[in-house]
Amino acid sequence: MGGRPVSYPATSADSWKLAEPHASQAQGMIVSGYNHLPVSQTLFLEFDWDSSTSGGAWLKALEGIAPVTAADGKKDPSVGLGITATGLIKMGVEESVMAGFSAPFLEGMFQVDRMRRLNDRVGTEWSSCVREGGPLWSANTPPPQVHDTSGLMSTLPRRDDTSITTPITVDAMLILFCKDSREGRTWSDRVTEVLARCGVKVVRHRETNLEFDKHDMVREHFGFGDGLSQPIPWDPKAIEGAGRAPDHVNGIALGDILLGHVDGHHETTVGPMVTRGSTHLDDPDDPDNLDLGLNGSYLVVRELWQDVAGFWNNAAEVERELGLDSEARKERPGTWVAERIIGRAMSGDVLRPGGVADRYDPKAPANDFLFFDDDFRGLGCPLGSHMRRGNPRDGLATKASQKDSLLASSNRHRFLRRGRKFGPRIADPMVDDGAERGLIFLIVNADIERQFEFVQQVWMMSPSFGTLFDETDPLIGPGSRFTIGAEPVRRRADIANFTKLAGGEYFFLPSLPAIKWLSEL
Amino acid sequence: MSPCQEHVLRSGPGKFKQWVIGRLRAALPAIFALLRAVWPIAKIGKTHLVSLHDDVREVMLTDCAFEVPYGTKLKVLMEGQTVFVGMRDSPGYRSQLDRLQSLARKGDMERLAAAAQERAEEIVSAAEGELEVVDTLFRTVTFDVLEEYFGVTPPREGDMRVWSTRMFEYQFLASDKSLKDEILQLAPSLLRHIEDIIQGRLANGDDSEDDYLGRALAKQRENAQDWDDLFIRTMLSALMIGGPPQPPMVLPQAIEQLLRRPGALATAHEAATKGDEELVFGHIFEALRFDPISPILPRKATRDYIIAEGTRRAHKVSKGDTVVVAIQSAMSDPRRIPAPKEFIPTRQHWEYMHFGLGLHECFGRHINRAIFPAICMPLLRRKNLRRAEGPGGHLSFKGLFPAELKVRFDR
Amino acid sequence: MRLRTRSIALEVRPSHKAKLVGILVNLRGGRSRGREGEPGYYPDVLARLPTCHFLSLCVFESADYDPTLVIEANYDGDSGPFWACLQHLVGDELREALRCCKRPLDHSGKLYDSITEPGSRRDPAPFLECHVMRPKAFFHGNRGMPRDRILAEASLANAVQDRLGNGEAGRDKTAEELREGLRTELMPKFPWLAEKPKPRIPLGETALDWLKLAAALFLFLHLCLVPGAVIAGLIGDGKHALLLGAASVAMWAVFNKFRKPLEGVSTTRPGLLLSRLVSNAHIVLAVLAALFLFSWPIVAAGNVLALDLEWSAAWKNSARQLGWGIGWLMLFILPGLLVWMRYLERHDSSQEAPQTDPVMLRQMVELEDWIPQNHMASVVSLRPNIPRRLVAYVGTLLIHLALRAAVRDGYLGSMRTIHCAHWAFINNGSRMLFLSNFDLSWEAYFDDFIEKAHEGVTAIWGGSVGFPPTTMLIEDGAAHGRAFKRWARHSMSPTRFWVSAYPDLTVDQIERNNRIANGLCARRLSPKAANAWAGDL
Repeated sequence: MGGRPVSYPATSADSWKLAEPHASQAQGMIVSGYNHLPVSQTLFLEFDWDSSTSGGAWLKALEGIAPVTAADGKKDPSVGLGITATGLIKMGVEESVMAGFSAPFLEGMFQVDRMRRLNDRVGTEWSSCVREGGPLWSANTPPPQVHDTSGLMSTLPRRDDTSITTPITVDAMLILFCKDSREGRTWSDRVTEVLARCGVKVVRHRETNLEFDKHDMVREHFGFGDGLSQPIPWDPKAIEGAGRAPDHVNGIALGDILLGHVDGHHETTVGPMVTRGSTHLDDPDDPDNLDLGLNGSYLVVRELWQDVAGFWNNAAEVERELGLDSEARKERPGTWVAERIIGRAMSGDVLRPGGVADRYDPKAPANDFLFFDDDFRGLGCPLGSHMRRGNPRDGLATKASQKDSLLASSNRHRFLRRGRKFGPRIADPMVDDGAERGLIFLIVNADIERQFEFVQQVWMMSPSFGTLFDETDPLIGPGSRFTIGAEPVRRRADIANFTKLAGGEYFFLPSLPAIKWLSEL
Repeated sequence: MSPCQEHVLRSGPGKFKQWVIGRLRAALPAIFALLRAVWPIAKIGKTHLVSLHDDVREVMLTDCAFEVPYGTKLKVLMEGQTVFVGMRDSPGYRSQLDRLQSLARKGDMERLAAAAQERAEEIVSAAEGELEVVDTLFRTVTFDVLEEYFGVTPPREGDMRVWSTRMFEYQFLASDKSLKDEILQLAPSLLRHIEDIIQGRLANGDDSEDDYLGRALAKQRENAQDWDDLFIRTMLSALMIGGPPQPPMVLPQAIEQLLRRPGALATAHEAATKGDEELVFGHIFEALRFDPISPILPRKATRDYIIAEGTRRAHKVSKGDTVVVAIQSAMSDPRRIPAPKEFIPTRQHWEYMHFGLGLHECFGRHINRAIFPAICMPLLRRKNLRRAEGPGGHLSFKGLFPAELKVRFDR
Repeated sequence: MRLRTRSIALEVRPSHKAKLVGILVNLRGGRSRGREGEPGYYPDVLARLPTCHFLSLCVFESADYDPTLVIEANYDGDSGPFWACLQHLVGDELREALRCCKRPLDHSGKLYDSITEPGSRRDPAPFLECHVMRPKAFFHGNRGMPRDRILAEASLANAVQDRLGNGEAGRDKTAEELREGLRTELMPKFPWLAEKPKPRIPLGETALDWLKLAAALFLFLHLCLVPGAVIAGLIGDGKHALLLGAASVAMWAVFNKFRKPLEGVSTTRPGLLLSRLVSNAHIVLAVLAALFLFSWPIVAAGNVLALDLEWSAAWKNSARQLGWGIGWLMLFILPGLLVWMRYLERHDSSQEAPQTDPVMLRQMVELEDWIPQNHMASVVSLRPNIPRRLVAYVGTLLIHLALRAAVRDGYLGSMRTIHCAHWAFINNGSRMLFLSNFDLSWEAYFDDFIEKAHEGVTAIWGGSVGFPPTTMLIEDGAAHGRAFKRWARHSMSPTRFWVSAYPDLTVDQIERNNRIANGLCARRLSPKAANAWAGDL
């Protein structure tokens, strides 16, 4: 790739624009990370209305106080909205309409097979990546009812409950983005009050934020740059100024993050078609009808709690075990190991044998690096590091001839990351202060199975990633060994888990016309 | 050679005949291979020789069409009483077998193995580096431990080893006149001897249940009808005839096969040293696959039957015909047995047919399973086990019975 | 020892389907001690099937045909002993399962009767052997690796990892010192390290693979030369040139008109097949030259015999005939075949939303993803028209031979996740059976197909009913991701019983273990080779 300039500043996700009419239909949070609105109020809602309230009433009420923001320009403040499948059903969306949504969305994140795939729960035990006692919130989607006349279902090796219930039920999620915390809180109080009148309870509230450091970088609680690598969507029809071809390193099809457009597998997702002003499915060819999916997307939300002191102390301990503590270092103890767990240096630059990757833009870490040519054996950025597992780029190729195909194939599984952290910054990362802190991990993708679930199952949690054996992601995995490339021979550490899942769900991120339709229900 | 060896085995056939038997034994694998390839079910007169693994299994498992031809001779030995060994599948057969099996107790096999190993160790350590194994080791130990286990003490007059061995020979191998004459004398002696033991035990009120006899007498106290004296003595007599003569026949053949295969002998030695009796047993059984106690077993057709029906070699057998199943051939049929020419001591159970198969699978298989490795382990543990010099260093036969094998070892 | 892949397909009496499924499921239920319910891990089964790599039993269910029992076995070495082992493991269940099947109408009916009659004690293995199918195409990811070697090398690799620990001890050594140290330490436990590793694919096998491919290609192309050669015998060169010129111009014109994909079908750069042909022109020319050279003596001999020519005249005459034959082949026949194919492609229907029975889907999903490997079983009907069938039969064979000859390292395109997969034709070649044992999830497997190997997959499956629309045999088709996945899911049935001999190992890991073992077997390695070796640790 040589001296190609950086495609765009990695910390800014606002550099591509949807063309009309899509821009005024899609939600703003799809195209923007809202870096200009660093504080946000994340409200998890449960629908608890009586039969006299119509399913769309709360959306109408919301229109007055927190209208969902479109993707057609910077706005202050802004609003994002996601609704779960159970939420849609409670709102009165008919079964035939629901059938047009994707299976994982309908089944929910805590369906028994899905939990096994995502490694949240295998068998009867929650995995150690989950908060003790299980997650606190989800949509509590009832298990899919299969009408089995053959009696064959009962022959399956079912070892555990087919459904789990979390203490908190979440039907929808509302994110209010503002410039500062006080403004946000006042606003969220008012929203809570308005929603309560429509029978919608705020069952969980997190203030989340993007904190920019002096280098304009967002850091999560462990101290590493977050959201540094984002894909660049490409679509000649729906993206303004799309080039002739997608970006070589980070380009993906727009359809991978926005429904109704051509996706990475050359298909256009069509959502359920409904008649405007009615709740029914209708003639798919009628131009007046509404494709509920068009310009909408799916949002994967996972609330992750981080034990910062645990992480750093473990890293320091591992460093001692590896015999590295004697080496004079300026950094915090554990930094060497922690950087390798992530795959990037504290500065945000990707690790390379003997240092970090060069920057093309002195202000921001490079994001158009690849692995095959520069770090094939993982001597810099370990093969199993969080970043390499999350997006292996061309690093899974074993021969030069496979580089392009592997890179293209990796990119079919990428998604936009819109996560923000919550909780106070820790004063001393080596000392636990008992405070709850973490990340509302939030991603936008159009095909949950091919994107989020694939990455989680096949890359992050797979004990067989690449040629690694019996180890999982060192950051979010259940705690396992971790191979750090070195010459002549790799180092190996046992890394424990300090990131726990405390709740999660799949949400539908409706387009503005879809919200309008839903509010009429 | 111990003095009593002389009369345990009858004097064998002439030198030439013995040589022919030896050659024939050695040529069997080749003969069977040829038969399997060109004439898998050979018919000569009213006798059918079955040599493929599949067909051998079929005949042995189909007891409703093929019975064992042991009944008539057994009646002679038992003074007219029937014994399950020669019976067809019937309630009477099941009842006899169940009753006899009920005498075995948990822990018997461990006890038996321990006793056999202890006795064998005594003999081997007394041997000062050279040992004749057929009689001195195998026959002695087998008879000692089994007599004790069954509760049949040696007679004051006569020799149990001779009685059993002769009667075994008559039952399964030969029927010449001189042997038959001898049997007419020996059979009643054995029966009377056992009856005496039973009466003795009853008379002196011995109610110990350490051996089969004691346990049978205990059963008799509960259920006199099923366990009358006649039944007890018939069963004990059958056990004595069918059981103890066998290990002294097969174990020398196994040791001979091991001596021919230094690699196998080395791994057997290793297994014995580690005390891995399962692996030692594996070595013995595998060695026997190359020279089994009986390469063939006879069956008699009780009705018309088509062997291998539905295949190109389908073969009709008429009622009353004799069917001979070549178990040695079946155990080295490459169509079913993986790498039959290789010595693999970890083969699966089903690859062997030493104990027969189906209804008449050897009653003593558990006993043999326990005592085979136990008897051999003290010998195999010895370092540098090798043939003795001279003709005694190779296994010699009298008729079909192993007669002598001398080995040397470092003490 | 060669890895064999075989399957057996038997039609089931519809009334006995539930019973049969029960029998197969119980095979699993009773044997999952330790890791309750996890498909794919049965230590006792594996101990008693010592040569088995993968074994699966499933019952296909479809609205289009009666249930079908399929037994798939991948094993080392001879077949007879394998079936014997299987029958001794689950003989009674097999007999019971056969009783649920239809009595075959062919010669094996009698054998079926004698095995399934009440009280029968006949072994079921001979009957199974009557119905064993050799796959039309198969693929092995770790070619030349017997099961014992895979397991031995895995345990060696584990031992190496244990010795290395956290790697601190190796810090001050060179890679070669490290390797020598490990070799000495591990030699007592792994005495085979002293031996030279056996070549994975013997030279003879390689030669045979290429020979088979060449022979099949030759036969096929040689037949294609016949029309040109015949015409050359009938008319003079001048007229012939005119005829061929006119015919080929017309054919190429038609071909050019139709070669582009239809609206909504195109997924990739169109013209893939043509561009492949052009970029591999040297190979095409070499093949034609070889074709000419090998056909020459055959045709010349034909001339001598049929036309009673002298040999000298025959050589000349046959060269002329072959020249025209090749001309017709390249200028008319091949584009003609492609036009025919394009005609079919433009008129074939493909199924966008095949219905997958929700009960079946649920069962498949519940059975998947317990170990890092998965199994898939699929049956599809072939399109009925002759060219499609021909492509399916001949194409599958040629693809198989080509893969066998050219792929030595387990890579299909750039994917290497398949342990053992095979295609076989059932029901007189009207349905295609696909069975695969692969790494990672089903979704990942199909994403690989879609992203890395869609041309090959399209070539093999393109002739199946309902397959997504294709262009020029290998284009588009499987590249329609969601449609292809839906189509594939719809063709699948849940695998009722499945065992893997090395459930934790992926194809890549087996290869890595092999490199580690081979490196340790060597007496000495150059510093460069030793470094590369250490990189695998």
